[in-house]
This record gives sequence, structure tokens and C-alpha cells, in this order.
Amino acid sequence: MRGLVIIPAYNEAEAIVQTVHNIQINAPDFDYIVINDCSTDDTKRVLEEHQIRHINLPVNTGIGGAVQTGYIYADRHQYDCAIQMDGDGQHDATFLHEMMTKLENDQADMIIGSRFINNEGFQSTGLRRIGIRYFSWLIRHLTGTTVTDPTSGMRLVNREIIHLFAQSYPKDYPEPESVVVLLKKGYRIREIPVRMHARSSGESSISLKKSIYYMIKVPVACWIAAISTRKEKRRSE
Amino acid sequence: MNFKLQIIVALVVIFGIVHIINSVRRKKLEVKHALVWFGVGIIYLLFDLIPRLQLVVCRLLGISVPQNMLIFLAIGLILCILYSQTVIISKQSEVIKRLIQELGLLQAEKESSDQ
Repeated sequence: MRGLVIIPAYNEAEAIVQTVHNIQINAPDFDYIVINDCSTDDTKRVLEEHQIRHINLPVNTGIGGAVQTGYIYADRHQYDCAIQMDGDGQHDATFLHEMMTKLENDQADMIIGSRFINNEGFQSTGLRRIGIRYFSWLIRHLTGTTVTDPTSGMRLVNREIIHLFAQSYPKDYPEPESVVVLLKKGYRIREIPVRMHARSSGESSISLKKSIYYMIKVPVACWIAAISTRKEKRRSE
Repeated sequence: MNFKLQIIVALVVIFGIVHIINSVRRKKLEVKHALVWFGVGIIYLLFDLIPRLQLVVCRLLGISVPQNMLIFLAIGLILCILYSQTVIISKQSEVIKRLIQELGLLQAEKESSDQ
């Protein structure tokens, strides 16, 4: 199985080298690609200096657009699986192989690294945890499936999903919405417990003002995705 | 509506339509998007030149004052046009996103083949 790690990065000059280093040490058989979403800091220079394989987007497209660029790349280079990992050092590559094994053994289409199964590691802030629990409830309500960490950015997907995401992927706050789409289409999502770290540098892309938009946009997007997505795959659960 | 106002409205609308035709001629506006504005202009001209039409529509909608009906209609039309523009913006932002991604991918490919 050829695997690609997709690392979206916006102004992550300080953390990006460590993130890539973490992958090279803990998951050396994975290829990786950094998508530099038109950072305004030194990210581009740092990437070039350390000869980290990357794609520079000429205009900022937002997290969804950046990650999708990675999926298009994975689709064209025919990777068997791809995992999305944040560029800020929150995700730990030590879990990659466990996720890959689970993807194969469970014949799953997506493996989500969840913070809330063993409740270990950085658990996000209180208010955000309430939001995450709310999305989890919403997804269970809409699809009948329990996903404990629907906002996790650490997600491994197989070839079929790579192709699907390369064609269509939400622009902002894509995680919960794409989970609903996959579940409604009849794909199989599994979770494994992971530990995440607090950000090593920089600021979260979700500020207070944006989180209001977030709490409105995501449920509406999930709901519309739920009523407009038809089942494509038939699978015995 | 008195005769004076009728003339003024007709002149403004005709001036507007001429301006739109000119914009299309100078390739500043696509015919596709000009159509909706021609439609608006024609509706206004009809109401302006045939005052009886105002009364008929008023009775149909149950509005007692023609002026109110015209404002109601204008807001309705504006909302329709505005909505069609939001649709166009959404489509464009998707297309632009794709172009940015392709450009990035192409550049990366070129650089890696140069090395």
C-alpha cells in the first residue's frame, strides 16, 4: 500500500519542519506533501530550505481547498491511501501504521483518529468539546452512526475516497460535512483512539468570531448533505 | 401617475436599456447576464406606458395603491437578480479554486521535473 500524508499549511513556518520530521521518523514508508496555502510568513522559504516536498498555491484557498489539492495530487499519482495531518504539530505520525492496519483489516473507507475514545492527550478546550459533542450527536441523528470525533483533521482514506474528495470537497470546516456525505453514501468509517498535542506554535484558524459562523455553517451543511446524498454503496454492516 | 412622471420613467428606462446594449457591444457585459436586465426594463416600460396594467395587477394581488404594487414588484425583481448573482459567485469561486489548485500542482510538477 502506497500512502501519502497530506499536510495543509498556512503560516506554519515554525512547526512545519517538526511535523515533517515526525513523519519521516515514525512513518518513513509514507510519502508526504505539504500544501502551502499561500502563507504570508516564511513557510515557503522554510520548505525550500529543508527540501520538503510541497505545493505552493498562488492564492489562499482556505483549508478545504488546500487539503483537496493534496487529494487531487494523491489521485493523480495513484496512491492507495492518503491521510490528512495538520501542519501545526497537533497530530502524531506514530499512529499512522495502526490506522493503516485498521483500514485494511476492517475494510473501512475512512479511519478517523479520535481524541475522545480513550480521552488521552490534548482534549481541546471546554467550549470546543461541547461543540464537538454536539456535532457527534447531530451526525448520529442524521446518519445513525456514532462518530466520536467528527472534527478530527487526522483522517486516513482509501483510494475510492481519495478520488471522491479530489472531485468534491467542502471549502471551509470540511470535516463533519464530509463525514456525513460518506456515511450517507454507504461508506464505512471507523475510529481509533489517538493522542493529539496542543499546538506547538501559531494560532488556531478558528477564532471566536469564526466559531459563531462555524456553529451555524456546519450543522446546516451537514443537514443539507444528509438530505441530498443518495446511497451508492451497498454494504452489510 | 401623471403624464410628466410617465415621460421621465420612460426616458430613464430607455436610457438604461440603451446603456445595457452598449455595454454588451463593448463586451463589458455578457448577453446571458444582460437578458435579466432587459426583462426588468421591459416590465417597467409596460407598466409605465399602460397605466391600466397597473390597476389590473393591483386587483390581482389585492393591493389598493399602484405605487405600493410597483415597489413590491421592484423589490421582488431585485431579490431575484441578487439571488442569481449569488449563484454566479458560488460557481465562480468553485472554478477559481480549481484553477488555483491546478496552477499549484502544475508549478510543483514543473519544478520537480526541472531538478
